[in-house]
Amino acid sequence: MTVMSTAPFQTLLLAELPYLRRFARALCGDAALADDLVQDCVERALNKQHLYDAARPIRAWLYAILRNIHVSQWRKSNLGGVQKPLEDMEAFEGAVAPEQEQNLAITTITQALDLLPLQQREVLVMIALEELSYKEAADITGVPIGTVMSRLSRARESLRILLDQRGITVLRVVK
Amino acid sequence: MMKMELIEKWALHAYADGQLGPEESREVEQLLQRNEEARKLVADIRQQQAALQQAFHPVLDETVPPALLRSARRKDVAPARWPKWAMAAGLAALIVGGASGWLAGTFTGGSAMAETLPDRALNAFNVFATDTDHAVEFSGSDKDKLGRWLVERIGAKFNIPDLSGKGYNLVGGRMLAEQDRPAGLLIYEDAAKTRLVIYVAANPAKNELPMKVTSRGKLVTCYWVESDLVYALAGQQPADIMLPLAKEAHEDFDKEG
Repeated sequence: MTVMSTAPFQTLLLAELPYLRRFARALCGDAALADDLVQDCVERALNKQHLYDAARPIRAWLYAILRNIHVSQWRKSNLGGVQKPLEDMEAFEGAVAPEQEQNLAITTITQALDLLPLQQREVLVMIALEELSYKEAADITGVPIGTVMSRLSRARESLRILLDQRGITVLRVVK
Repeated sequence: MMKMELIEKWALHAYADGQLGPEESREVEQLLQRNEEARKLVADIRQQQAALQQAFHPVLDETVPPALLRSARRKDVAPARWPKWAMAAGLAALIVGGASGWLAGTFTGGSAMAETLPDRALNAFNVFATDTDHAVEFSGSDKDKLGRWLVERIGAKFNIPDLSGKGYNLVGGRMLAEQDRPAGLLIYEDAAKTRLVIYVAANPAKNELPMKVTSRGKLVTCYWVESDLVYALAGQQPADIMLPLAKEAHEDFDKEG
């Protein structure tokens, strides 16, 4: 028999809420939308808790639920079929005072992330931010690891171009 | 400078993400020593990661909105049942004799669709899974086409499960008539040509039911109901083989590619 966590499901779920909120925030950018997404995820997770295999990490299981809801909502929205072009740099325009630079930096990476196609963004978020393995990201997105890797490398290349165009190198962001 | 091969670029990503074993890592480190472009790529990857983490890690320290906490603490949910299914003892309690029997206390829906679900799946298994030549209208090699066709006819979105990880390959699928509505039947078989079917149909009742198991003679059905669709996996395999397959199928049906 596999080793199972003895904590009740809801206790585990409560402990994961901050991580679900971070994941959702990075996926959709907007804080209110992100919390709606977490809300939907929590409800679905509670309804499906009989499917949770306690021998496996709960975070990846919850992330898969949240990610699926996000993809289906995104498909239902009008933006579903339209990919934002990389050249669409309007969101990056506007003069900002130097003292706001720190804020600007964070807003910029968030905005740059938002400009990535969803398939690239979600893979980048899972691996670079949430530090999931390629295998976990492949399981969650339902594509082969090779596809995860090519989406990841395209995401990073797109992000680099976006940040370069804005004239803010990521190095400056992290200072 | 020598242009990097695609495979080297991927290795650099995997290295920066800590996905390589010690030996592969050493190879990448050698590449890094001799190739400036490689060093630049790894540095870019790490800087982006630091920027992402700096932007989003503070979310962890925010106060979780009370509405979310309330939802997660909700009391009116059934306790997790799945871990018990891994144990024969728990399994026995779930199996009810005869397709008309129900697990006491858990079946509350008034959906005729759900009540007849195990029977419909078992009947489809008996009729179609035994036909070795003409069981399917679309073969498993046309999985995408089959998926689009079934989704279009049934009228609700789902993903055809991949059970190959558990030894069952998709033979193919076909359409069934369920009263005046179309339903889909997916047929799988293992290396020994032992088959099982998955029945899927629209759920006009829009209710939800957790997974249950029922048997009729040697035939076993695992079935569950979601707001858009009803599902049933049926075959002659014992329940301790069917349940993990049903669980895998359940997860795959919901997957968004």
